[in-house]
Amino acid sequence: MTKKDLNYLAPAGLEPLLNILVEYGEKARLLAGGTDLIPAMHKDKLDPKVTTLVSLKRTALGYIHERDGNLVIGSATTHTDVATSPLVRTKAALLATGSGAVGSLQIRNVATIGGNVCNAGPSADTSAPLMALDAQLVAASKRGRRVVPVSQWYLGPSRNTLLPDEALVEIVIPGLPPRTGTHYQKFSPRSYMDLAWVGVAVVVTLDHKLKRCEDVRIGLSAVSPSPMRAIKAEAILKSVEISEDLIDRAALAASEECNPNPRSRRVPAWYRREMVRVLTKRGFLEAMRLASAAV
Amino acid sequence: MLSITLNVNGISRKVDVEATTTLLDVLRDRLGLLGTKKRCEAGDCGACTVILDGRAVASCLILAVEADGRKVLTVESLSNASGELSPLQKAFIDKGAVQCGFCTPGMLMSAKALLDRNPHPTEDEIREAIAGNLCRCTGYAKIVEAIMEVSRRG
Ligand SMILES: Cc1cc2nc3c(=O)[nH]c(=O)nc-3n(C[C@H](O)[C@H](O)[C@H](O)COP(=O)(O)OP(=O)(O)OC[C@H]3O[C@@H](n4cnc5c(N)ncnc54)[C@H](O)[C@@H]3O)c2cc1C
Ligand code: FES
Ligand code: FES
Repeated sequence: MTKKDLNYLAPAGLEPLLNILVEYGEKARLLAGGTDLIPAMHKDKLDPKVTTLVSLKRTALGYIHERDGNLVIGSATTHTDVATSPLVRTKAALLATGSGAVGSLQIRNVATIGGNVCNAGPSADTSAPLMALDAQLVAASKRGRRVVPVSQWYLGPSRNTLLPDEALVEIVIPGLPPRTGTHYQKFSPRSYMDLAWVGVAVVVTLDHKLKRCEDVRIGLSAVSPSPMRAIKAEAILKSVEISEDLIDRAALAASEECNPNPRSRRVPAWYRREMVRVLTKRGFLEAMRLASAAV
Repeated sequence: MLSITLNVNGISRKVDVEATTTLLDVLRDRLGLLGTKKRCEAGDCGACTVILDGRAVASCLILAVEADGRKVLTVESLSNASGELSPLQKAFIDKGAVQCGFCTPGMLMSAKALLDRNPHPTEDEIREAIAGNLCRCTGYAKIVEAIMEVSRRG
């Protein structure tokens, strides 16, 4: 199948789209903003099984709202809309930072959060924030809806848990308790237009006395085949009262539990580990400062 | 073949396209609007930037069918019917923000999209708005100055 022969469908609504997925199976490929898909098409790198592009543009999946105390984001919402949404900036500021760090304005104006999640690149800028937020991804098919915790979504580089008849519909982000601060850092040598060398996201909730972590979640991207949680670092931070030594130990644990590609020609693994250590400490301190301010 | 209608620079244009034809190729090859440049076809350089429904986009990454029924502005829309340049274009010339000129149409459209939304941007906002437009010649400083100048005058 060369790109000349591809077909295009733009079903009016989610139901007709799901019917198409049943009928076409692996021959269909959903098209959101196209910023991952179209470059692949230009380079003739689309899966040869694909015969038909199925556009999301008439499915009304671009929205951001609150439901039952959760923040709900439609899969076809653009990064520009996520990054500039007052609701996201107050309820999940680190995700606004993540979406705002994607590519350039021309990219963010069309690229979607759902495309970022489904493309499942190891350095995708929404992945570490969504891991740290413990987001839930809602997949739909003719068989019904399925809620997938983000920790079970990514199956390796460019692989996710979706079946061929499923589409990602929305992302649900649980409301954060009081005394919570969040922070995302994308590290890359250029400030714009560069994929993350390391991404570190932190969500921390302090106890009433602001001395201990009631809860902490650390999401890492670009340092393992899939985005991951730094579970050992989290356990250390929750164990006793916060001190500089505790934070240093946790940051070291994060750098040891991540798994950067040893064969990367772009960035040596030791460097990524070292940056995980530095950025975990910095990110935790910043999230903690915001948590103390959010009493 | 799919039949689509685009509103290009205020004029409704009907074209037949393949599913995989990009908006960039329609503008250049079908409508003869050669101001919009084609280089990387990967979203990296910004030479193909146009304004789609008010937002700057890389037209090499957008399928023409996806833009069906929508409003497109290209660099050709900036000057008026008698060919007089817009204040933004004049500022680019006055400030020496054009050298080889290959990046200029894309730069102008990114700058226009910014100024339409935010007539008095800060330098940081300007740099962020043109971060997706590569220029091999000017070193960007004069481009930023030109955009600042329009914001001051406007
Ligand atoms: C120049 C450039 C710079 C970039 N920089 C960055 C960066 O800094 N950080 C970053 O994270 N990414 C970056 N990207 C990658 C890309 O822009 C993002 O991953 C983007 O979010 C993809 O979204 P999209 O809507 O364009 O996806 P598409 O290209 O439309 O889709 C991507 C994949 O997801 C599938 N898909 C999309 N929506 C759904 C859905 N609802 N259900 C099921 N499957 C779906 C598609 O079938 C396809 O396989 C960059 C890309 C370019 C071209
Ligand atoms: S040609 Fe479109 S971004 Fe380079
Ligand atoms: S003026 Fe030559 S690339 Fe910008």
